[in-house]
Amino acid sequence: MPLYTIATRKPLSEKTRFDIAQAITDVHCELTGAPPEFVNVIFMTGYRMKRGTVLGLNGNVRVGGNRNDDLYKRLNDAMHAKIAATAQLKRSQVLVTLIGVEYHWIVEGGMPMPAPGEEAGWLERKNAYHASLGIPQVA
Amino acid sequence: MRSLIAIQEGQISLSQIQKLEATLRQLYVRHVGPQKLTIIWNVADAQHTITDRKWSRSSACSVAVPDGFDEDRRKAFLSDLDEAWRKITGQHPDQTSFVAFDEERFNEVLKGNLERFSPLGKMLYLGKLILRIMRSKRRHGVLITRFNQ
Repeated sequence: MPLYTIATRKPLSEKTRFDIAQAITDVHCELTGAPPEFVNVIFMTGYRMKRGTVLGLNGNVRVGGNRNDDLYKRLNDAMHAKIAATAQLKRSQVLVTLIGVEYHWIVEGGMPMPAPGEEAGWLERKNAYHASLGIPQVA
Repeated sequence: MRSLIAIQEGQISLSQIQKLEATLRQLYVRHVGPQKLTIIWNVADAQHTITDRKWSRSSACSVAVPDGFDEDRRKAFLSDLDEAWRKITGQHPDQTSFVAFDEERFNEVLKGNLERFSPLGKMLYLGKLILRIMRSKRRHGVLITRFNQ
């Protein structure tokens, strides 16, 4: 988490998918302080989009901790602008919807996820936990 | 109640999917309750998922639980599911994600997913979804569809 899904009617090239995912990761990490390993992006094609929309991004992002309503507004705005630029679309052709998810509803890396803002300590604990089980870093 | 599970093409075999589904159902009854649980598996094509800036082999399992579900029970459910899942698939813990949404929020997510489509797009999507999962149910006993239409 976050999990971002991107729907389009026409398939995007592999390079465009990769570039859009990097843009999403940049914006998410820059604004929230979350590490890039948290960010998941899934692309889906073949969908007839709402009138005027070419690309629809839905994001499920953690709420609570050091995040407030202003951050989600800035995240929405920045995501909108960066994705439109990366996909070479007009802003009006991109639809962004963010939905908050309580961090304590999520397990990743074998552990309950941390509150936003407490990622650094969590990553250390998680890596130590994996090491204690003899689990190597993911390739 | 519903569960949506995202997996990668060719990553998890059909027999593993069947085992995972049986395990999820057992754990749901043990930790959450006897509610009917509809589980839909959604397969992503290769090079269509990115985690940590790289093409990914991750799976994401989301499940609805009753609104206001007890937090300790939610944690125990997710923890048991995580452990059982990885025993069956052998996946690295960094390649798995489990979320137990309150039902209302889960429905909000599903509604949000549909809202980006045109009215015809919603109908076509739901029609195709129903066709695919019915066919999959007949052939394999589990409901499998694909992200790409």
